[in-house]
Amino acid sequence: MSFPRVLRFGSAPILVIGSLSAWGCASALSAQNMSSGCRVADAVRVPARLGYLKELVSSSDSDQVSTRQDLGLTTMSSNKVSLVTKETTCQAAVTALNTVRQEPGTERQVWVYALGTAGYAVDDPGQDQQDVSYSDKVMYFFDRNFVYKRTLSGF
Amino acid sequence: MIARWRARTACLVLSWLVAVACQDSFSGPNDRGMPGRPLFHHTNPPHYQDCRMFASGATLINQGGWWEGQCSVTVTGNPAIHMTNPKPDTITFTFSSPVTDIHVTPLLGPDDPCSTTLMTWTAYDLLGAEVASGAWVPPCQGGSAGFFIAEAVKRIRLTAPIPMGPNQFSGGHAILFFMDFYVPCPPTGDPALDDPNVRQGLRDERASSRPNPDGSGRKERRGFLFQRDDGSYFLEHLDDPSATMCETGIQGLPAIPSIPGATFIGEYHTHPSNHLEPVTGCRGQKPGESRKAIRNAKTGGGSDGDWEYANVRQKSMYVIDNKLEVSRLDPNTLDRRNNPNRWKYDKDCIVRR
Repeated sequence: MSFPRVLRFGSAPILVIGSLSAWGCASALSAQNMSSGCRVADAVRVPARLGYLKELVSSSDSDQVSTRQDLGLTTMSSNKVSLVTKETTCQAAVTALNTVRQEPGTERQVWVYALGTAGYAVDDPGQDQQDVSYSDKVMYFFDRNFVYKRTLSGF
Repeated sequence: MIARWRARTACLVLSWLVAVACQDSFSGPNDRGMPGRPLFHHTNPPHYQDCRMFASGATLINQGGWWEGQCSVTVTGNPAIHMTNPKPDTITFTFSSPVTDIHVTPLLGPDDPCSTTLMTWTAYDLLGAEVASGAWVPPCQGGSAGFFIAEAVKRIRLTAPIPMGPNQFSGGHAILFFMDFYVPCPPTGDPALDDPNVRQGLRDERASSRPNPDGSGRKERRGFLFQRDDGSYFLEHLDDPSATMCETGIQGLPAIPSIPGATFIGEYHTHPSNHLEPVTGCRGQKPGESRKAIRNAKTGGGSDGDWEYANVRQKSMYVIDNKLEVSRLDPNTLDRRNNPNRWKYDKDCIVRR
């Protein structure tokens, strides 16, 4: 934890302000450097993926229906889709993703979306955050036991 | 390359008793072959007392009335064509919406008399103003000669040569009129997409990015959009040999070519895969990883990467997918999901989707 370490430098008022800023940065860095698990939601990508997945599981649009069928998902209420914050689930997702990616032991912070009890969708932005090209982003789909089903590309 | 769909109409005027027949065929895009010969040839048929229009193959599609030496008949279609023979020496063709680049080619039947006098024509625009006129000596014995009108025209009026017969067009002679024209595309709201070169160019790039019918060999293609000083637009392809089905190969922002007399407007690329079509060889894709393309991610016509690219470049990115849908991704768009700048091809035109 970086918090006690930051406090050690917070003896003067001006330094306290500085230290609070430093703590914020330290927390962010800490999140990036910590071992695999859940990634903190952002303001753009997570809402977009949530929106997509909610529509995927509930829409009668023909493309969405065919995608759902391809993934072996049944129709469900959109409110069954949620961002997972439980570390053990995220850890399991990372392990499963590492298997698919054939990159055992790789540390990742991922966004995991629960699709009711049917399974999970996993988004690993660390794979593409350096891209400045037209690269399609992907999401990995797993069943409830984190058995790999499919990768969808085009996000 | 002109990207407009074409309608070809061949009209036969048999006027002994003011019988008018039109052979009408609507052909595919960019088919600018010479008009075919109508499937019927009759001259001086005294029993013809009506107006007839024929579709391809001489199937009667409409038959108009005849009264007191006048004929009036309409071919439905886009545009509809209304033909009348209001006076013995006059024929008019009226289009339901203006057409451009009209070639009119008359063809006389073998029994028709030669004439050394002029047949005249006048073309009118949507408001009824005369936009062009001319005259020509009609052809003899199966020969043909015609005229061309580039302007947008709503109506054409033809007058018969003299002497053509005692009653000119109503004098028992047969003239076939082939009309070959373009229907202008409606405006898209995006001047670049209104340019025929861009419309055709995007379509060509999309076809090239999916070279085989079975979908093998797919690769995204990309390039630049420029505007010339004269206001016209064109695409400049950028070779990207390491592109895949999922992305371009070039990383970062490629240098913009310097083209004299042209201004860089934006970039374009293709999405060659259909929805749920398996993709292979994509960057980061592992052997055995079952990856499929989706094209309905509700991201306004482009992937996150496409939008981010537009933001970094600070120029619009045009995307054409395999369903011939075109999206313009403008930089700094906040509501990507409801991107209003989306179109689709309708024949050779681009219309709002």
